[in-house]
Amino acid sequence: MSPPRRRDREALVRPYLITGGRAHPTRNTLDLTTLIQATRHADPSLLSPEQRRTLRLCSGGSLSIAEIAAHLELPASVTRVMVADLVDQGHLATLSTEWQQHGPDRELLQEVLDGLRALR
Amino acid sequence: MVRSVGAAGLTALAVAGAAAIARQRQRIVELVREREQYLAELEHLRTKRLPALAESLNGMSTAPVPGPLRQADGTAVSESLAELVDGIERVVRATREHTEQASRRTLTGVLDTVRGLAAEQHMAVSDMQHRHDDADVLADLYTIDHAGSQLSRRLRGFAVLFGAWIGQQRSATSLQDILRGAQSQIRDYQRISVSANNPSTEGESVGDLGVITRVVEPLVLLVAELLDNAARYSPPYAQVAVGVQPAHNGVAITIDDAGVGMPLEERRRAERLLSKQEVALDEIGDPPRVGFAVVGLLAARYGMTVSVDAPPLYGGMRAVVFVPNELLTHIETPEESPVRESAASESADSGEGEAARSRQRTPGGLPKRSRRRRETTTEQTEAAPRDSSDSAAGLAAWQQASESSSAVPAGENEDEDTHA
Repeated sequence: MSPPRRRDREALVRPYLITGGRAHPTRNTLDLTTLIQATRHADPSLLSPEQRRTLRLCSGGSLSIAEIAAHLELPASVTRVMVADLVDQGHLATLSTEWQQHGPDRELLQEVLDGLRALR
Repeated sequence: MVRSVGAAGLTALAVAGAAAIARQRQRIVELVREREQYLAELEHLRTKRLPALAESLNGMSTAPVPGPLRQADGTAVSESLAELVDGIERVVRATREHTEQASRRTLTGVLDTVRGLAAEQHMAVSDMQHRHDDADVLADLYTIDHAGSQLSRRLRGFAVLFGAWIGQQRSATSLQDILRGAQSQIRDYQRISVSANNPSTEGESVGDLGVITRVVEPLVLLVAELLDNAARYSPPYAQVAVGVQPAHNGVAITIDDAGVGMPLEERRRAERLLSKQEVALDEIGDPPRVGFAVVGLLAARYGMTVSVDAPPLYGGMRAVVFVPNELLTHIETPEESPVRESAASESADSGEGEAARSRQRTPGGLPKRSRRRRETTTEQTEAAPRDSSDSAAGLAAWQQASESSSAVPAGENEDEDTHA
């Protein structure tokens, strides 16, 4: 896992509130690299702000749990619980893992490699 | 002749003597009466006025302190009595003031030490939640985090009472997050249902309405104290409903519980504390009950209004917090539109898609990955209309009004003094 980002203050809305106090996701098939995409049919008006942001993030394509967590600045384990709920409610769908379907994305790996070299 | 003259002289002398004696007797009677009056005045002072003065100075009674039995008649005695009473009052007030200030300074110092440690611990728990990706660990961290949030709320409440700094400043925050932040900080947070949807405008969101930097923490604390009270005075299975309503020149935050209501005595105490501009340390009570005192002080300091009553319709209590327009601001919905590549353009002209993607780099040169389109197992979704433009038509007017009246952008309030 990446080292935690140093935040200068605690979030106002606490993680336990975001998941209603639940620490265990309703499904254990979600790992950090699971790709998530928004589905079309659901009505987001009753969702929490974090859930709505997740839907917006995933509405144009797929994002992994780790990426959603980074965008929302939430712990991955908390994001997992929230995403599992959204999948249960039909707002989000999981895509089978890219690595399994297509193997590693060469293009992305090259970009990461280039980036890492540029860091030196 | 001589004899008659002598007799006449004697007679005159006797008459004069008798008159003098009569005058002196009269004088003695007067003096005795005055003495009795003064004694009665002193007795009145000792048994009635001083005890009443003591009660009034200790805040135990609001009844007026009785005056002297007789109006001041300009004599030295009545003046010195009046001065004596004034003097006692001055000395007692000065002593109380001095003690109060000294106690506040000591308590603030103690509080600062504890708050520093509590904040450090809370931050550590926050970081641990980011570091550990394990549901069992998370469950334990939730417990610690929740306790930490409540502790932090209590400490900020005491800070308000002691006249100390309320705590960290936050950037302008949406009302919904204010309410949820407050919800995070009470024990029974799961019984609170926050709806930022406004019932009178058919479920349309007030999500982009927020408060300016200066009042974020005060309003969170104020609402948290009211929520805590509502949860405390309602049965453990009942929900506490929180809503936001547009109001004339501002918004009203409503907190409804389904309890049995507060006992009359408690309500009187609440009303008294809510109307106070200042709360003395000895009014906090033992064990300390600070909720309404904190709410009243914060409302007075930051220009909000709070009322608590028991509308017959509900059976429980309703607390209403009025937040005026000058404390409100417009919150931009976080922009979440990483380049949206349509499936068509990516397949037809992958070079352009590639270029667009490679433009997105972090300052360190690492590629910044946004979402990508893939062959998916679900149906392809079209770009959903962004919901940031769906602000309620019914609310637009008063939101605009609030924006124009609080023309200061949120950022400009950043450096404002929050010392309360």
